Amino acid sequence: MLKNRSRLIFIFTFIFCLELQAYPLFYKCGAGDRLEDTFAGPEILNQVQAMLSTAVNEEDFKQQANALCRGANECLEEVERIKALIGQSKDITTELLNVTSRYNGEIRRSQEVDQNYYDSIKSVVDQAFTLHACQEIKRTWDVDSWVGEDKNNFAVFYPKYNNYMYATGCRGRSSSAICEPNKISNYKNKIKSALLMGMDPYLAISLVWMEGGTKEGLDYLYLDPIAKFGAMGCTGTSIRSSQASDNSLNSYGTFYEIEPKVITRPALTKKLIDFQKAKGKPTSAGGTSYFCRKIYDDLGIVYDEPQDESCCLKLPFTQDSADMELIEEALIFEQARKNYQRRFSDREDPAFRIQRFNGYSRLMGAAEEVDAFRSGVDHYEHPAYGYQAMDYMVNSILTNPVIRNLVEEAEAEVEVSLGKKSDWRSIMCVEHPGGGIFQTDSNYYFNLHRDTPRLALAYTKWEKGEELSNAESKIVEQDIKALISKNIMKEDEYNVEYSKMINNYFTNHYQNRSTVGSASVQQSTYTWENLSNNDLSSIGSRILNRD
Amino acid sequence: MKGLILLLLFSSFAFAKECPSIDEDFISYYGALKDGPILGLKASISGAKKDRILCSSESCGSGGCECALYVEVDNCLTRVLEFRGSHKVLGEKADGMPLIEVIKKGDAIAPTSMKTFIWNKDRRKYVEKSK
Repeated sequence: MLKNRSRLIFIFTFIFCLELQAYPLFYKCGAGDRLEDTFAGPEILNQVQAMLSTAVNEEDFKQQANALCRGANECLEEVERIKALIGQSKDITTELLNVTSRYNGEIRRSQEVDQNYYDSIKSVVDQAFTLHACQEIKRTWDVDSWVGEDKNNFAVFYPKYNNYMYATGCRGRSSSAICEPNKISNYKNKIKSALLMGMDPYLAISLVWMEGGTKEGLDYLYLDPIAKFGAMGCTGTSIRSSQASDNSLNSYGTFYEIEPKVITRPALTKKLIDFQKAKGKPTSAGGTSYFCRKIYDDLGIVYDEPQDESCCLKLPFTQDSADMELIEEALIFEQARKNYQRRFSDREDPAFRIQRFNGYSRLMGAAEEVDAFRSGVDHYEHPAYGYQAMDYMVNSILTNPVIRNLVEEAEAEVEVSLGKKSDWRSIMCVEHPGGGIFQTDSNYYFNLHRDTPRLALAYTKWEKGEELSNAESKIVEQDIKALISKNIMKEDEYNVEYSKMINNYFTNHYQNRSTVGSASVQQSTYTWENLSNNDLSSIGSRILNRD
Repeated sequence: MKGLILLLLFSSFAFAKECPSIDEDFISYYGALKDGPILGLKASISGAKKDRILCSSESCGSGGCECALYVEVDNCLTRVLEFRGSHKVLGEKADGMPLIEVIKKGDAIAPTSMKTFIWNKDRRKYVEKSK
């Protein structure tokens, strides 16, 4: 009976819940940039706000509401409730001006909202179970309904049909698409690890989706050899491969001379003590040991004395009580945490901080051939990787009940074992010192990523009759080859004089490929639009084995 | 005699070649910021001690760094290969220059790639070896 009920809720939600419009994501930041609460506002709120801003009078509003709800009474009631929330008592023309200005502000990046507004919307959200209240259902929906019958696979809602939809667990919307479901077992323990080391667990998930996809979850995170030293505070200098000796560190083909020394890091070692304690392997109350890596080898071993030819982290506990595997795991999250603590070049959008994980290219693709839709982007102005990671956060991760539940459980466990709350900075809150309540539009980062310009400077140069740089020419050629491989351009168009080829490209093809989204649409089956309700329902069913 | 010496001197000035700065070339190619940190690595590709690899520090991330290899061509260090990822100099040579293997770590969209580059004596550049 319960199983049937769960299935019914699941089908209902996936079919009806996703009348996908943008919705506001509300979040509350506390002291220390801690994320204290998030919930997705009713997506219909945006509809109602838009209707209010365009309705010339009450009658006009009613007509629009009828069209929106197709006459369904419970939908009309919902619209009225939301309208009341926005300010029914005011004259509609006055409201029109207020809403328009506020809405225009809110749809942008995070905007501060007041406590009353937050509380009143949340009260509506908590009560609502109507046709258009999909985000509310997601927020209050029973976690079990998002988990498969194996109690391990879980559903991930990501609404867009683009190259990044694999986060749902399926790499396409057709029934033949390869699916690698997210599994609770690949997240549960590592979420706790992230919290213990002060790393934003939601950001950690977003990063592994960007890097490793869904198959391994948070188990995908690892450090390259030089970063393993960096996490301990050990430094090294690059050397040429021909000069590499038996004492040099080979970090995936790049060689380093590591400085042998003993590092003392009280803040880090305190976290390691807490880490082991919370993981059920408490360290001794006193004593000293050394977590060392030979300067030519990334293997970490704990000794009771510092080692020769090694970089060692001094630990305030005994060798016997140290757990090397746990220390290695902790250092992975320590290194990830360090990466988003400061702004990039005074840019306020957190997406710029996230881009640091992938690096900043002035002209993506100048060094290596990448998928054409990703090439030609200037990350110093448009951090495409960071935009997508943020999009995963606001469109999926922060509102996923399974992930939220895992984080809440992990936080409770940490509190019980350490007697205090975990201390982590949310990427959502790093730009809101002092905390507060904010809202952001669910489409904000999606749109930024989709509309990220490609080869913009090259196009301007071409328009002015200036020469393209070598790197720009190289990327245009790669783009042309990609179009030929998709039969969008003909081989003949490539085998012509250089200037003719460039003119042809910018005159006849560039307009369809001037952004990340448009290039992806042109060269693939992805539309960068919302997945249909049927698609989402089908993906969800396959992930949860509920066909 | 004096005139001949002067002529020789002027000739040598006329032919003395000033090599362009590799740092400037690197910045110009990648469009990196002028004050952006550049990592300079000594390399040994051609056998000459001058070979260098430059990488843009800010480009380093999960897929590696944006780098360029400079070897001596016509007495000047010249950019002959642009790459991202780790490189390995192979034992096999073509026209006196070793083949270079570049491995770029993949991500959820693009798989890890391994490409071999071969010296093209006409273009005086490394080009991808055809399979």
